[in-house]
Amino acid sequence: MTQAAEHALGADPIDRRIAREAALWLMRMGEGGSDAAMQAACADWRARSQMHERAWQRAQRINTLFGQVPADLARGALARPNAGRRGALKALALLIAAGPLGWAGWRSAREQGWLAEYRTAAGERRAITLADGTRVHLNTGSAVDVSYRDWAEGGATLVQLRAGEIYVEALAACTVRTRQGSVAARAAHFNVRQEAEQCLVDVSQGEVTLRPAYAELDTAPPRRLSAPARAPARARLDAQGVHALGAAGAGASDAAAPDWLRGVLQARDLRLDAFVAELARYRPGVLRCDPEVAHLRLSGTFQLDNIDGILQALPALLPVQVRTRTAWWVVVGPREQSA
Amino acid sequence: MPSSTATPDVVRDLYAEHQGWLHGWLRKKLDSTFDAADLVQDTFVRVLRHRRELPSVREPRAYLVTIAGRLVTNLYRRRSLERAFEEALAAMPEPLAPSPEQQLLILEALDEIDRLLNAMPDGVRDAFLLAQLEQMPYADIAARMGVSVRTVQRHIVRAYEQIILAAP
Repeated sequence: MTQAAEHALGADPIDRRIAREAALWLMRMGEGGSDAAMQAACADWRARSQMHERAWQRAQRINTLFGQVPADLARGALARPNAGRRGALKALALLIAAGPLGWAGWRSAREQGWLAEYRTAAGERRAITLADGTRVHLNTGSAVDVSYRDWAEGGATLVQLRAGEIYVEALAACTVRTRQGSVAARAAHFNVRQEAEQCLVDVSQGEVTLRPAYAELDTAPPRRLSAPARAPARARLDAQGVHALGAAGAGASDAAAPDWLRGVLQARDLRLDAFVAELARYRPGVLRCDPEVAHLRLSGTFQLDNIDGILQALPALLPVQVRTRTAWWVVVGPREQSA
Repeated sequence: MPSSTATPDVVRDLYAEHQGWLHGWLRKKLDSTFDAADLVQDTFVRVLRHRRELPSVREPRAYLVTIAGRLVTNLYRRRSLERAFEEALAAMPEPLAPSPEQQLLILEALDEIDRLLNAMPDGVRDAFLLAQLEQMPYADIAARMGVSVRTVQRHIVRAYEQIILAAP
């Protein structure tokens, strides 16, 4: 069948040995750090015959295709469990069962930002320094656009938070815009976390001004609300406006830069579902908590750079079992009774 | 130069004789008379494209069922892909969602990838996806999957090999 199709297109089928050699080259090149000598050797190999080049081009095709799809959309679509691979019956069962799996998509909401200027992948953290010396730290799965002149804001640096969480050490006038509103500061240190329906702001130094999004559309002067000046203070921005939440993280240290900046997650009598949801932010793929064990609680300090290690350790802390269905599909559920 | 290429007439006869029961067979499998009609057409389009093979076909029914069965599997694969894609899209914040034109291009690229990856064993597929989507170094993939780096390298080679050998 395959051969016939090739004949129909007027091309000879590719020799298995050549296919294997091409695959070896691509694997080596994908290993990173391919030097000039290796690239030259590879080019020589490709030049040996038309079939060598054709084998190479075919494999390159998949690399091109992957370049055309945003990773989060691709992940949601390609890493679906049993992607119809177990035959029609299983695939049909999957179609019927696909409803409850709807949360496969929620992850990608957070990981958005493939159009944004600066972004981090799941599990990645990075810091950028803006022209005025202001530092912006991006937590996992975050995306921001930065523009330097926003006349409406009085010439402040404008940071549009498209997804995720940032910690800003502002040296000059700086405004962070979120879906629910904006956070303006002169010289302050503050954390902004964009969630689905709300946005959380923690001020750890100085003072910020919060404005709900609807105020920006009003012709009337925008309503201004100041967060308490003592650090750290927390407020929530949502569709209804600004809500002061009082001091965040009771007992947190004084110069309360967020824990994530140090790569740790502090859990204090935290429900397991909230804990797992937090871990999920730092790991590509779907990580979820079975409702049956959602109520369990745990405490401790966890290293964000080793999410898989935390998952492996969970059964030692709580009566749970961690099931890995694919590399991207992990469920924390109740322990199965053996025998 | 073999001159035994079947003429379209042979395909026409095959169609006249077999499309009735093939439609019934597909309708039972798909539970939809429209999908069944579509796949009957697709089946014969394929037969026409591969008509060089026809002279060697001894059991037309088995031949047609093999082709149609593959199309059914592919239809399910495509639908589950579309569904997962829709879900991923729905979860995107609106300002970031690609335009309808972009969505179509992305879906077509995903479909081509999905087709190529579909036949791979789970381990090969997972390793390849981790390398491509997460840009993970092989050592990290090995740690994630709980296998040796050698195994990951073998998986990657096998994935490329299969992609190269797949019919275009």
